[in-house]
Amino acid sequence: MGFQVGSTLLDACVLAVLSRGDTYGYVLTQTMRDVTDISESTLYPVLRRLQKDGCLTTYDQPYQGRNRRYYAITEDGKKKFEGYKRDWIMYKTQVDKLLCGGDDNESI
Amino acid sequence: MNRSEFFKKLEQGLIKASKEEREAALDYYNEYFDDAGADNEQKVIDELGSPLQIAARIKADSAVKRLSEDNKPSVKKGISAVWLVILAIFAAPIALPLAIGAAALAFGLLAALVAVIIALVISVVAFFIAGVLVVVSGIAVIATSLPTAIFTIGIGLAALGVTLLLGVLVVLAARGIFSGIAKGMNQQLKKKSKGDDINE
Repeated sequence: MGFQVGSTLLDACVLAVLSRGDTYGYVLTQTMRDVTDISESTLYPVLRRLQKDGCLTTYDQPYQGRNRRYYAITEDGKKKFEGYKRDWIMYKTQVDKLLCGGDDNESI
Repeated sequence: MNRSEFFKKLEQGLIKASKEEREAALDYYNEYFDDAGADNEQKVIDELGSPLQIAARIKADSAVKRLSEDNKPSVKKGISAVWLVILAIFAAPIALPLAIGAAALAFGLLAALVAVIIALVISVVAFFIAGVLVVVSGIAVIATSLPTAIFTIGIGLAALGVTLLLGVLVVLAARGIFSGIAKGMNQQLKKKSKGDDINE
């Protein structure tokens, strides 16, 4: 993909995935990788930062004799996500106008 | 590199990070390998990249984070954060010449700033010595001419006052400058390793 995902968008995507349900590191990474071309190593610092900022919390659940750490979005995280979503829709609409506006005019 | 080598290197890289930071990172990657399954071990190692780079990134992040939480960041902490960011730049997966260029630039900037601060400190000291000398020479001429003596002592005391003011300003400026560059450079590094931020 020619477009790369910046740190703000990465935060927003992680919060979006978590807003649909708690999950753990491996699944979260695979979900993100389906959409973007981020490398595995960039996700850990993002999770750590979001956790320190109070946007997500963690809890451990036993799985096959070991602990699996789940990430869950907090109320603050949800608020932040809503803000990001608003910003994104606005931004996306502007870019759409610019990138695809010409096509629309031709079709009319 | 196999899994245990990966963790050995990661732990080595995080030896100077806080215990909590180190354990959290080791736990996370341990779990990641477990979830990926033993069959995918080599694939995960290839995808994760250098463990030393991961460690450098974690350390730089937490140093900058600590700096921004600190209301009065000390110069020492500022310098160490700048240094960690420089190390992270070296470890980043950008082309080596670019990395060397970026690190050289960062190092040059740091050296220049340190030089400026040293120069300022020396001028403060010089002001202080000059002030003391002028006061002393003023006292020396008290017997010969009282007005001259009072005038000279006055100038000397004024110089000492300026010294105090400058000293405070220099310390404040040094603190601000170092935490400023550490934060700025970390931001740049994030952009470098993730590509340009289309959302900013």
